Amino acid sequence: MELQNILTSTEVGELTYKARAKLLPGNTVADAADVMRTRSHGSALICEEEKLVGIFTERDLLRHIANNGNMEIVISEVMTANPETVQSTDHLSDVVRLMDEGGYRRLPVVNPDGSPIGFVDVKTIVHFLVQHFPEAIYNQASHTQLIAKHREGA
Amino acid sequence: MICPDCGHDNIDGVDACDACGQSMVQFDPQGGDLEQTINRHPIEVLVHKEDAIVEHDTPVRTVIEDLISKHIGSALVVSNGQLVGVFTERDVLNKVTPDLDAALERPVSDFMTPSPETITSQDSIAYALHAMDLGGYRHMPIVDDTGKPQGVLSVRDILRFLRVRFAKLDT
Repeated sequence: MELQNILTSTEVGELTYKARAKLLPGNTVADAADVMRTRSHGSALICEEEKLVGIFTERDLLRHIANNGNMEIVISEVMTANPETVQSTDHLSDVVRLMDEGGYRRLPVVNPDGSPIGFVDVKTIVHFLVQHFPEAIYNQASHTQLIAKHREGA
Repeated sequence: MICPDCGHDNIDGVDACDACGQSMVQFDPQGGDLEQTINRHPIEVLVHKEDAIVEHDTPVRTVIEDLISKHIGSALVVSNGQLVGVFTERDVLNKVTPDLDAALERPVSDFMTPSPETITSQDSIAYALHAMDLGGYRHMPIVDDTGKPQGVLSVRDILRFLRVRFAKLDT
């Protein structure tokens, strides 16, 4: 099947979501960094009354450190508020387009009522592609391993 | 068609490599358009963003500012012109934030991930996809034959290539 068909016929719900910690807008940046570090997550969902109001990512943390660095301020001041979201019935093609256009490496997946389910990220998409094109991808050797550095024989 | 023996880029469909005479028949790429393209194209066809290459003794604070101003997620750390590590946003989260004030003035080599897996600009897109999926990397340093860093391949560079090339998703 062609890539375009695969992307337009696969729904986000068929991928494996990445569950992420939920934090409140009033939690501190230090709280978020602690949770993300202990769980090895690059992002957290910021929720209010079970609705997604923002996300906080490694990138937001980096930007905050460069700007100010006060780890005790509340996340609502530095999170990405009202992020672009997808639903489990959206197609993979929408995800790839949104990621490319917005420069996002992950998108939160939400239910129709706005409650968050998790994230779909670029690594999930790459894994999906690798699984769908195994013949093309698994048989590859590095260029440097293919080519002899010196002429063989006499 | 890239000759697997000498690396010469031949016109598609040739029977033998123009440079070394190696028979190319058995290497005729199989599969659909996508498979052929990701096997045939080296990663050098992808557009790289401005890459941050920093000396190993640069303070972490400076490297973080570099990552922000250049809109990139990782920096290559060099010593004597050789790649010795990568420093990513994940290193900031895991190693720098626990003791932020003390960490920011220390050299980046204290926090980098040493001896990263690398690729060369002549490796195929398919090889890069596999390596990134297997290792769970979002970025891979590109080095030349001598280990000198040339840039960074981001997984998003590959997605963009596939989107532009194959998935006409804008209509």
